[in-house]
Amino acid sequence: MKTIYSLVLVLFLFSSCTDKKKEEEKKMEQTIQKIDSLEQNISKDIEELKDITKQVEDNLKEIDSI
Amino acid sequence: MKTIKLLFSVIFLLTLLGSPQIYAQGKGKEKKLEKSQQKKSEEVKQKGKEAKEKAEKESNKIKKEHKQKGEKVEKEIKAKKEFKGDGNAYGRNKGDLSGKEFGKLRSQEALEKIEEKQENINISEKTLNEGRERVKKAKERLEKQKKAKEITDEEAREKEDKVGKAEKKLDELEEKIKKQKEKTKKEKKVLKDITVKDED
Repeated sequence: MKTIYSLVLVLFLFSSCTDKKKEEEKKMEQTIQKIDSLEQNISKDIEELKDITKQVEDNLKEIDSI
Repeated sequence: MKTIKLLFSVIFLLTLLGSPQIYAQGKGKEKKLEKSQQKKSEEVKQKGKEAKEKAEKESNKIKKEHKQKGEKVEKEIKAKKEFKGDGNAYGRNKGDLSGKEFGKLRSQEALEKIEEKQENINISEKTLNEGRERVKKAKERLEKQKKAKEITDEEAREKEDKVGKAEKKLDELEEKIKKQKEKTKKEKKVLKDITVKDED
């Protein structure tokens, strides 16, 4: 009985360690995905800002000739 | 005593199960060593005859490889910079970095991106201020031309349209800058939160 109890305990400890590691990996994965999506949005915003600034500059060039 | 023995054997087995790759690598290394030793003995025999030919061939090969490697590295760097698609971010090529280190690196990159956005906002703001000034001057010039009757009504209307269009675009830009400034603040906060969680 004692042996079985010890065996179960060892197995339990082993599985809990593995689970903890997996959980940490999952958490890190989620964090990195959040950062990735944030970075994508920022890149998109930068492009939009550049586009509209260029359009403004083009319009300004036109009125400079007035 | 029996229980302790059993426990040790179970732990040993679990350790072996947990590191099958290491075990496999160990075996692989032994085999590789044997193979390399055999190869070496054969190579020594042939080396005398082939040394001259090999030297020439190798020098040519090295030159080609260097060229190919250079191109490959450039392509890899480009791909790394450009690749931001869906998929497993954690499983991406993170080299020798651990999960946490990789996460920190990604958040550092995101922070740099936010700074880049801030710089772009500043450039756009400068364009906006200069643009307002240029529109003002253009209006003044137009008024003068109209008063001095240097231009026809049609020409005046055309020029007024141009000025109006530029003014409208400037308003649009101002609105965009305002929105992006608020968004950047939020993004900084979000990134900070993520980083704090990451450090925990």
